[in-house]
Amino acid sequence: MSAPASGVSSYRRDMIGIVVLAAFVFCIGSLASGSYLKTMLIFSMIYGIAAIGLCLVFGYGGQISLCQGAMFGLGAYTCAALVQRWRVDHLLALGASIALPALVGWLVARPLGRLSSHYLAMATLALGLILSILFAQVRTITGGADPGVIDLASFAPFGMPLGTTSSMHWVCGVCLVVVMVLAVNLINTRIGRALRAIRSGEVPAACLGIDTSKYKVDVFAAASGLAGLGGGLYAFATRTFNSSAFEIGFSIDLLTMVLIGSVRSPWGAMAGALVITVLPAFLEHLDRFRLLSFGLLMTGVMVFMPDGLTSAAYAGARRLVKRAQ
Amino acid sequence: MNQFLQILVSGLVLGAVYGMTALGFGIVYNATRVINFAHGEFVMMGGLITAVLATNFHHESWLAACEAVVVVATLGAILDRVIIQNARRREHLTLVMITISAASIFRGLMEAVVGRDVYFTATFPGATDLHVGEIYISGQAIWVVLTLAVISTSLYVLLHHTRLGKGMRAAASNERAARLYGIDPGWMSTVSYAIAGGIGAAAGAVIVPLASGYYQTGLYFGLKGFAAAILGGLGNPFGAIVGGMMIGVLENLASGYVSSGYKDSIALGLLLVLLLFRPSGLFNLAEAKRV
Repeated sequence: MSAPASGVSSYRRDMIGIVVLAAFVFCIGSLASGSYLKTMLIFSMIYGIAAIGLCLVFGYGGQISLCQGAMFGLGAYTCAALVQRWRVDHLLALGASIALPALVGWLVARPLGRLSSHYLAMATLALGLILSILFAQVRTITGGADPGVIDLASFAPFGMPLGTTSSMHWVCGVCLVVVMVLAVNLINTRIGRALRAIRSGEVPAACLGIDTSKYKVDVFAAASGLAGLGGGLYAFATRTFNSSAFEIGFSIDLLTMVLIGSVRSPWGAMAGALVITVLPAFLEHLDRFRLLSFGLLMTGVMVFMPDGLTSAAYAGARRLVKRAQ
Repeated sequence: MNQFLQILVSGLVLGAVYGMTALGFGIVYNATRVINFAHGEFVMMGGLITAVLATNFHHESWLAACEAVVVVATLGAILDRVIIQNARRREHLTLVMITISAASIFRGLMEAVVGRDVYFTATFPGATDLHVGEIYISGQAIWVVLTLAVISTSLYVLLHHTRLGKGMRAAASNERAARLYGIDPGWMSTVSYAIAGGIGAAAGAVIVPLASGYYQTGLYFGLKGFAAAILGGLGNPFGAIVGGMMIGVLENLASGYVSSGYKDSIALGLLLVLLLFRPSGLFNLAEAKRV
């Protein structure tokens, strides 16, 4: 059996993209010296991982999730609590910060899967809010809004010191590349096709023999796990954070990243994460006009480029090439 | 017992504001099938503009409230006319995301124009505080309830007894047929955004003396109003008000008897459970699938 030609070529394109991404991470890691630039990229990569998860559940599965930010927070607190209280090895703690959100996601996904469109949005919103309220209130574990988690040990799996900015860049870069490889392989196989079928119509998908509720549950759990991984890395990257970092606005930011980039591709989610992380820094000198300009820019993108920035850039580049020929 | 009644009364007052917010969600949803995530910002702007006009410019608070309603209704119409109707793709999700980013515009607008100060303002004149037995009802609470009554009555009259309201309902139920009868659905959608903006602003204006005006409170109002709208069944005005009251009372009971830190999580947890067992809201018999 041969796969349809377009599938093969898009898979090849994705693989080339991964090589380019790895090369980019490698070049920045070994050549760039500015720690500000690296810090920006570290956070872009961390948010990118969570955004890729959201892209899978939302862009491919068609399930809107507004609790991705809370799952990110759950990962961050899992990591911090394991390291600070039980002195667990850091790599193990990072693993747990994937496992616990994924488990929570798996548990809630089945009942939530009965809902659709704005009811699902409301339910995941409520779930995210409840989690973020718990982060602020269960102060014995999380430290709440003040003081929060302070001075987490810097990342050192098996005693290897990897806590500096440039080492964290390598750690996050490797994680991002691995996540991207997994995502690309997921969407170009049976699972990805099943998810796309569910997105375009649940009943027809079920008629084709796709176990829709199983796929919906699995992809939700996977997305929560990726958000948790982002959260664990975030905990090690900032080392000091409080519950205000994981409020509902953050879930909406993640959703914006996915939509600004492109709903239908993990590359778009990554690009969106970069834009949303870096853009506020550029707008910083606008002071009280910052939020207004941010809103105007975002709205402009949504109104004029409904497929997201990456698709618009791709289409624009193609048009230029055509004109040059 | 008195404590319980007191909690109940203040919960109902807060719930009236949530109910008015939910009405705005319903109006826009009925006309355009879009959840307007910028709606909470209408409530915030109504309150903030009222507070600024009353404290900095010494307008009478009722006048300030009226001005706020006009300004926010205009902004609502602009949101629809200038932004939403120019969207390159009129897909449901794109439109929802536009409203989410429009919320940043409104918040940023208030930050740029008014600043990051928290505004407090005096209660509206006219109504005096009441003491029924041991229960205290502030004069402002009477204003809140009166506003809710006036708004829901005039909304009912508008939708069922005027040409404009009938046109709005016609455009909502069948866009194409409405067009054939000479109704412009785009215009109806603008009107519905303006009405939602006006109602939201009124809700914000009457609650601002009991709370405070600040450019970041919109999200909070939006969430509670959205929850109330879902609870009552989206697009059902009676359900919106009852849903709002229920959320207000639940929230106050939770903060009175459990802990104020957990009040939102209890109200939202109950909402989550309700959603799972009655996904179409409490008062709608079944989810009407739109074909």
